[in-house]
Amino acid sequence: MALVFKASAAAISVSLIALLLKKSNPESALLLSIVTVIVLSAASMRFMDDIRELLELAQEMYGVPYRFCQPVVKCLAIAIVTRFSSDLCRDASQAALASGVDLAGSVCALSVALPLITSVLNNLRTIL
Amino acid sequence: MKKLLCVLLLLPLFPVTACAQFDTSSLYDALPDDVREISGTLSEEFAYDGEGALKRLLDSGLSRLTEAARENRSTALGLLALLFIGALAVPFCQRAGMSDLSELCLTAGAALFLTEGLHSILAQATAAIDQLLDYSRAALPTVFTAAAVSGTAASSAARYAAVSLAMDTMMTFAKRLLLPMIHAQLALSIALGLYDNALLQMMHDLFRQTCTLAMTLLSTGFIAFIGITGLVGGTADQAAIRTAKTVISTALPVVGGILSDAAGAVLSTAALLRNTTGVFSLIAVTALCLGPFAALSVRWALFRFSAVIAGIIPGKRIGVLLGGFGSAMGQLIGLVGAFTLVLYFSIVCAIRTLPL
Repeated sequence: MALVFKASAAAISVSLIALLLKKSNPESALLLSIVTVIVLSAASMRFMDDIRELLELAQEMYGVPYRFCQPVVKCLAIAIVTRFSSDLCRDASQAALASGVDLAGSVCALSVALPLITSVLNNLRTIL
Repeated sequence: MKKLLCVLLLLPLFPVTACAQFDTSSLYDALPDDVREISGTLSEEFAYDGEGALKRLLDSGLSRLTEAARENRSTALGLLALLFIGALAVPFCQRAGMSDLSELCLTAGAALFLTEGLHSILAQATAAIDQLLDYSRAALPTVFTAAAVSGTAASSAARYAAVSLAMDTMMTFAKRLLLPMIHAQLALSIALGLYDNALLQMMHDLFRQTCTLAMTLLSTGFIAFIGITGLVGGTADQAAIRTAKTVISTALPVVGGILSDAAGAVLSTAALLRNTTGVFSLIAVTALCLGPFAALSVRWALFRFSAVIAGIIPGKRIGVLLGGFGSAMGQLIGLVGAFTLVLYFSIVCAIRTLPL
């Protein structure tokens, strides 16, 4: 709970500082934004342990094999990284780069889903 | 004259007991051991403890339902866990513009998880239909023979021919048309979950409606056919019995009435035998269907309930998948139910006759 308040306070403070720096030194403003994003993401990673424990619980108690949950979690991770990267590129007025990052993220997410889809198609063949 | 007198005096020494033997072993032989425990057996005097059998049927039904719920508990909890993970992950991915792909992963994972236990359910439904058909071939001749012995020879023969035709035709339709269509429905549900397409949706709806219509027409048509087939024969049987009684009582001046009453008593006893074998067969058919119905019903409820809960996840893919699976389970229940209904009706027609 405290992390939310700290993250909000840090983000608002860094935004104001970046706004001031942007006029004189836009590169430093962007670097400050990138560092803040990395620090906030690292702080949030502590809670990933809870999500990992949930997935292990699902596997042990409810018999859900990890290979069924793994692609969803990987998609989530790809979505988060893609979103941050493309937003940072747009902050730096690089819309083309942002679109490139979005495309790369979509392709990676699709490649994560492909083994599942292949397995589903094999299962469809046995059903029919 | 003396010779005639000697013959008449010695006549009382020669009467022997006449009796008829009726073999009911075919009623039990076609039943599995667990079903035989529920249905019980007929006594040597053809008495049957119907109340006890009904009680065992009820207890067995409840225990089968509990067992099916226990077996499907892990599937239900696993599905709920997947839905919960999806509810957490998909909104995040939605903000990054990847909701389609995350939904696709979730739906594919759920499809793989659910298809692992699918083959056993389909095999169970097919086995139930095979068992019902085998039992109808083994037991119905006995039931209809008992019905014929009780004075309805013409109608019983006609009805048995109609029932045999009905069961064989339904089995052919089930194996060649209905079961493949249910398999196709399952495959199309998975495909629709992964890829929303109007043509796939139309094909899925076509197969579902065709299956439902075919089962309704087959069961209704054959029930009407069996019912109508025995009507004409039943009237002829009644007329034949009344005519025979009248002829016997008028042709033989003194003993005609006694013989006619004796024949009536024999027919009444045969009617008792007919009713007993019929009731036993009804309970045996119910006991045969208990396990498959319990398993299919629990699965159907699980998929329906999960489809409702899937509404918490943005997007409709996984809801479509679970709804399609639930619909296919409903079709399987309908298929087994159609066979059971035709068998019930056949046995009831054999038991039920018009008063003499």
